[in-house]
Amino acid sequence: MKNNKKSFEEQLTRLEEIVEILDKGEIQLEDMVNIYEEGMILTKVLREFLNKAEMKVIEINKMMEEEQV
Amino acid sequence: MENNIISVSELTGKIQSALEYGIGFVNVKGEISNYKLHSSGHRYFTLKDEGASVACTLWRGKPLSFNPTDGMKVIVQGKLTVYPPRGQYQIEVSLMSPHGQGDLFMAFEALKKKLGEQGYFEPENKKPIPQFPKNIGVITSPTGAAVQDIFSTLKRRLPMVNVYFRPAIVQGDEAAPDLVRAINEMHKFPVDVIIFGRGGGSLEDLWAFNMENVADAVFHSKIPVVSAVGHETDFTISDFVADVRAATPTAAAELVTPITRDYILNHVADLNDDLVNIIRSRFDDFRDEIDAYIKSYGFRRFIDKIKTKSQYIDEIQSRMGNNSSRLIKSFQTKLSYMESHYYSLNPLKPLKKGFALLIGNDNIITNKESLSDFKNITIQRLNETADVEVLNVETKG
Repeated sequence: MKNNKKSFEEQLTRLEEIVEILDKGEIQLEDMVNIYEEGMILTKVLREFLNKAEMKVIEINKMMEEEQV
Repeated sequence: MENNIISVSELTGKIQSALEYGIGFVNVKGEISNYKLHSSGHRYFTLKDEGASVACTLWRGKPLSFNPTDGMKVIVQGKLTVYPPRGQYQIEVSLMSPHGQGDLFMAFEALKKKLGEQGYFEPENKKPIPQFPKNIGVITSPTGAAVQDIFSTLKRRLPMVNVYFRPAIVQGDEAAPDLVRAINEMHKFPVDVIIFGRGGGSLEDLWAFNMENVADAVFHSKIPVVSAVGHETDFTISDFVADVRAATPTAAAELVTPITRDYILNHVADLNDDLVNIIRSRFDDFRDEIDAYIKSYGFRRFIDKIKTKSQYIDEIQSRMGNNSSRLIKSFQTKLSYMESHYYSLNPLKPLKKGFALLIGNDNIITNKESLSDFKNITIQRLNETADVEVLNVETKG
């Protein structure tokens, strides 16, 4: 997604923030709708990231050898 | 014949000197059985192998670097002697060490003592293990079960991690210097925590993890180190020096991933539920607000509000997928029902046909009220209003 510049933790923190803001209920309807929309998108992005994540193994020995070449 | 007769004690004495001078000090290997620590502090046991057994005593005060147990293979050093009351020969043990590991064992104990005194094992020197690492360093043999156990556990629990794997030599003369290099190399990468270890093996196999230079490297590592050397029952110096000791390689992988993918997925699902529930209750609030409008004079405004809100809902719905807005859809259905239903009740509608509305004290004057109750009223037509004075009221029928 477009939001990928933000790290996973930042996105998760933002989602928690959104729930908190909505819970306080001190915002205008339009802001509420926008922020809700943002939250739903974040949920989707986070779920996708979590479900698609694949462990990467970087072998150090090979990298060190390449460095020396 | 009489001259040749000797007492039992004399015989025993002869045997005793034959053994003590003829054989004397011995180094004997065998297996401990029937080990007993007497309340006096003396220790008695039998040393045996497949073919024979010999009684042994270990007097109180003779230090031991390990806890002997039945079945343990040991080497004893001591003097062969006789216990006359029972006519039994035995070894008075002066030194006992685990078989084949005697020297190693003593080296282990000595280094452990030395490093302990230098504070290598102190809790205040332990670094905290990160709760949610992104990059995990793994130093272990590229072959064997340990590396597979670590990888599969990490993959299962937190598949978004990057693993920096440094294959290492984990036994033999090359092992200790290679392990030291491996720890140093890890510091060139953005590694949050290091898993350091190998699978099970004999004390000799694990020996590199008992070397002082390896202990130094672990102690001075700026990255937290979780050690996992051998099985649950194996302890190495590295285990003591490491920031956390894991019983097995699998346990080490679990230790560095306390927060798992499944945990986060649940958390995100909870947040999602919160989002939907909060919005639902906010919309309920709006509906109450709308109900309040219906009861008030501002009907025009009420219709506008409904339209505005319907429009918002339409907007959200078009911006979001159908799946995520089922809730909004149902709310929208309610709203459009309300809109059409209340619109037909709208008292402003007849104004289009030329009827007028009488308003007194900011409320529509109903048939239950009488115009005589008002001094001034407002006449509202479609495009104009007029303030008028009530002069004379006649009541019909």
